[in-house]
Amino acid sequence: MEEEVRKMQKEAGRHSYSLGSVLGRMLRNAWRQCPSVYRIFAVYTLAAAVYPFLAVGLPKAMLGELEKGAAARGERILWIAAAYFVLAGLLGFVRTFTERMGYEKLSFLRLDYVKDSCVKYMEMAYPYAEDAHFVQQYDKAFIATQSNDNGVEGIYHKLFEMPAVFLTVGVMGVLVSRLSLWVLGGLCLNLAAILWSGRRGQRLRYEKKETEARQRRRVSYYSQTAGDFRYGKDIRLYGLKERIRENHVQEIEKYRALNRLLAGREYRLGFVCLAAALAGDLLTYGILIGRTLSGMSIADFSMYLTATLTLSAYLKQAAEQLSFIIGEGQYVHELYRFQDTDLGEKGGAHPAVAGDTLEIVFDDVSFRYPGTDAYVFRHLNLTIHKGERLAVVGINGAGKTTLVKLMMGLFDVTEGQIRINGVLIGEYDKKALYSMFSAVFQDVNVMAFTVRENVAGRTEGIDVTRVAAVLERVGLSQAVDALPGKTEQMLLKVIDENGAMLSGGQNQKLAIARALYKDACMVVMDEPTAALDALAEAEIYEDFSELVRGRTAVYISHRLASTRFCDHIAFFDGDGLKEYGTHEELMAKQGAYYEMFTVQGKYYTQTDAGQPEKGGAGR
Amino acid sequence: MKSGKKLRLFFSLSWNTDPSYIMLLLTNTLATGIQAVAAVVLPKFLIDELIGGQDMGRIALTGALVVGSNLFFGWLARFMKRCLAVQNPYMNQQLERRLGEKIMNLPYERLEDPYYLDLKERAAFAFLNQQAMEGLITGVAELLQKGVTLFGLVAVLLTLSPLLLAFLLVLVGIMLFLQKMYSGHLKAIHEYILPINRRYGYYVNLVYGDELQKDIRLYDMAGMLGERVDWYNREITRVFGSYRRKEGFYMGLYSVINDLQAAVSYGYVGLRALTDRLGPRIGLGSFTMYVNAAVQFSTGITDFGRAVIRVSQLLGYLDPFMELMSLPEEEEKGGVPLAGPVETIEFSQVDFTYPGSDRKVLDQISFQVRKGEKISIVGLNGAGKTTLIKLLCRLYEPQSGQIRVNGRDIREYEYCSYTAQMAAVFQDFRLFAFTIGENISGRPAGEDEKRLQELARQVGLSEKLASLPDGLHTLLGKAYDEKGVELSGGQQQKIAIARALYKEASLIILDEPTSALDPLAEAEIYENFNELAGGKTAFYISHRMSSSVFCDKILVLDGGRVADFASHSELMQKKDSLYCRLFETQAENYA
Repeated sequence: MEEEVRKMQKEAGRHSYSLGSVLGRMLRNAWRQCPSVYRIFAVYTLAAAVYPFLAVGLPKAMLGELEKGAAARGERILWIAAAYFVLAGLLGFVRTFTERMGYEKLSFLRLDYVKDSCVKYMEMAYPYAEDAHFVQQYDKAFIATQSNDNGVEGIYHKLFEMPAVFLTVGVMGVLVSRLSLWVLGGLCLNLAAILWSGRRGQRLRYEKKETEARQRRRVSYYSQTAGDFRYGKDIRLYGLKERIRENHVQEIEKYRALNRLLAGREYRLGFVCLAAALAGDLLTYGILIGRTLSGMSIADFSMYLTATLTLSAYLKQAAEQLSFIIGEGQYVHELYRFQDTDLGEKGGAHPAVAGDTLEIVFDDVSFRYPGTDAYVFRHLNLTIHKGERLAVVGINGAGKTTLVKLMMGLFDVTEGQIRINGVLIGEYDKKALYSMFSAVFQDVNVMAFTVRENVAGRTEGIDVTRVAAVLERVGLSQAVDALPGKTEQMLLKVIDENGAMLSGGQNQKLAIARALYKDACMVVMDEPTAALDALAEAEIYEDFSELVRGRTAVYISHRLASTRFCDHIAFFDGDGLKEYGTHEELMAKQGAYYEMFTVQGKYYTQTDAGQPEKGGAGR
Repeated sequence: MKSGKKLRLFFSLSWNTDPSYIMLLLTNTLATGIQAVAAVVLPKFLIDELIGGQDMGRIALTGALVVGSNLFFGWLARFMKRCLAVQNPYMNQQLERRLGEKIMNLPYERLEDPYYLDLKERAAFAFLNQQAMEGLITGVAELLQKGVTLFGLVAVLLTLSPLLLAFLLVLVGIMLFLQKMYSGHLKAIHEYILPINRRYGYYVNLVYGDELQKDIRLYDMAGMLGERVDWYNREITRVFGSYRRKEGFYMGLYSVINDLQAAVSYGYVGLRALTDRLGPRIGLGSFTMYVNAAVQFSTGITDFGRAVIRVSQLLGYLDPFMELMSLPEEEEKGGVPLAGPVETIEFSQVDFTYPGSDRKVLDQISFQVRKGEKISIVGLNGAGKTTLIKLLCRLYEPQSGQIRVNGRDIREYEYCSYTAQMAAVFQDFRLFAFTIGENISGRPAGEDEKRLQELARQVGLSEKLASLPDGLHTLLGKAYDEKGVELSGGQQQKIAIARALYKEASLIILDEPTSALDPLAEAEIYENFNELAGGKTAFYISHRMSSSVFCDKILVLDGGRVADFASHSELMQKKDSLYCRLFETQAENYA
């Protein structure tokens, strides 16, 4: 399995792509999102391409004047200086200012991609979200929008700056070639050495990439664990501080050793560059000195020297920008791949069932989680009738939660069929399918939105009276009215430090209110009371009937008591559906359900006997 | 001077972490300074030679010097790059480790205070997103480097004209003034954007977090979260937009002033090369040297200014880190070692309110427990059950009243010897990315395999262990190594219970230890509990009322007060008591 994943990752990494189409798409996107960036870009390019020539021309003009000897004029010197100031000042200001204006737009383009990825991630089929390897598979797509300096925004920046650099390089190259093609050759040699050693270095780094990533992850595991407040109690009470510290130091040292190896290799490669630089320098200075000795003016000497140095710097910059774009283009390509791939967000075309509750038929269903071998169900046959309340009980790992995940279309069956009101589940539109279930889970995730937004699951078009009605029905009205902002009160403290914190039971009720607000065709409850006290639990049980009201309902629980208000019970064990029937039928059968019910209930029924036989032992 | 103090603190921390690193940076600084001066002075001799003597030998020598110094400094730069590529991440990791260590040493109560949680997140942000540590060290190194360079260039310029230098300095003064205005804007924006960024991060994390994926789909919340992300995108763009314009304006002005410096230098030095009216006339070689020095000086000043901005910006990012690092650590208050097992526990009129709250969570709690007693703590959600345990474990201190163990106030005991007697499984217990065996024993794999196997059997883990190829030596979780296994909540709970049992403690505390277990596994833990705990004193918190049937006594908490403290059968006789109500509510479903 793991090898498969690794292979997949490698393939994703090697995924061939056309840089041209990636860049074309980026440019079109920029044109669509903010065309003004092109205007800014045009002005910037003009200013930025001309600016470097002023620095080359100034010493030439000055020395040219000075070399006239007796004919040189002080006013001309001052005029040259003034002309330089006006031109350079203007162009320099425009260059800098337009560059920053461009940045602003380019950052927005990146953030907009962040949003697109968020939406895509939330709409893709659910199994991907549970698949730990999915994010790894698309890690580059997510990295592409993570910072200002790489991926999308990095490339936009380079695309913005590069034309000016290339213009400068071209013209400066012509200028230097007038001195000697050898000097130009020297510069190219230099560049070639830098590119070669850079690629070599990258390849060496790539070979160790996995080792490096693993080692870095180990280091960060310890820094995160040590810094994670939630680990605080266990670290203190089990005296693990020293242990974590020692391991952490060890891992850091290992990482350093690895880094030393990599940096050492790159350093040795660097000698090639030094040799090339030496050759280039010897050529440049040799030729310049030779020319001057045979009559070239000092003004030209100075101009060519400046031009050569500038060209060398710009060449390097151009090469870096190019290789940056090629390297980062991969990431943007992955981003586009993520956004273009069909991740099952649509499903079929069948609309949601309206004005009726649901009948769900599991027809010879087998299921194993993607990427695993163990079947959770084999040949499961089960019908949940319209308007029926079904309790799903059983041991840990028997697949109770999986059952509802299949039913709600969060996972697809491996074999067999699920039909909802006679229609194959896959034929429903995904959003329509999701819209048919009011579900409540054990872990309630209240979000930092207002009470009413949490209940309605939206920020606009909230039916306020309905919010009030459902809060009343779950018995939260009083608590909510006591909040300063009532239903518009922000929850949690993350966003607003005056946000309200509800208790565990209240949070659970809020989740039920949300299910009520949704008012879907069918109700699903997955262990909604595991963390609640007995009274709160009893209240939730009462809410359940309120919530159901003639709808088909499935209730999953370890608390077998919950079966009492259900019509049928489905008991699951490690091999799938073991028993099915009413409470009375299953109790009469004296099978697995009976056994579990008795185990859980025995101490409640023995109260008169006081201490059970095992109690108080070991004294 | 606040930032000066911060900087000093930061560097003393860095020095302690790795002095060779700081030495390396200083050496590099000096060398680069020399390079800058050499680059200005050497061409002068070359040009002078080309115009004047044209002595081939001396021309070759100066040429070789120019080329040689390029070569040497080129090498030095690569050498430094190599060292820094190793040392920068090392420093970063070491400082992050220090942060972790600090957190492990803080008094526990800080860890439940949202202020410190926020502080920590902001401190960690500096490591994760801004690479502030590395940036700060290299930024300061750059600052020093430019300082040395500027010093050399000033020396060169002084040999020509203090007047030109004075003029350049006036322009520098203007730049500094602009700088100050700019920093003001920067700071305001920084303060505004930081919380926005954090909130933005919260919503983006909701989108990608594991917790909400079902809810997002079933309740069609993609729209709601997408909108929120989009709103923050626009807000951030708006704020950064105005920031970028200001930055563009100020940076543009810098560039204009730089050009002015260049123009004036050229004009002035040009005139000096033309006449002797402003001072002794200079040759073309010196002309080149002085204009280069002046131009280098003005760009050097700009770079210096930029380094100052960067450092002050990074120092801002570092604020939370420094604040956290300077918090006082848990002090050893008591000095008396708790030598033997826990014989008696006595709460007497204990009051407790969480810091920053007005609600009394515990109100005049008094009760006594003797050695070996099994106590069940019962009450509604929020009655103070877990808090009481936290006080007993010395994670918090009561505001008034006393908790006595073996007759002595627990604050007087030496902390380590005290916690050595406590083994607790909290509701939100955490396991580590060690092997299963190490998680249980808390130390590297040793010779006590037999005992670990036995414990695993007692908590019902044997079957699972047998199914793992490496058994007890299986790594837990994938955070540390991909080969690790992810266990279910119930299996993790069993490991946590085994860990508590392994510890040679005389007091054992289980807080909702079976919430993720199915009825059979749960019953197994209940029924074996007394056997598992042996002669140890035990506290047991559970919403499953049936679990209290096994306990000797039940402590019923109601709104932070002790409602009852008696045995199960005694309490069941008080029909109107909270305990009886709770019990019957659950029991009637099984009748």
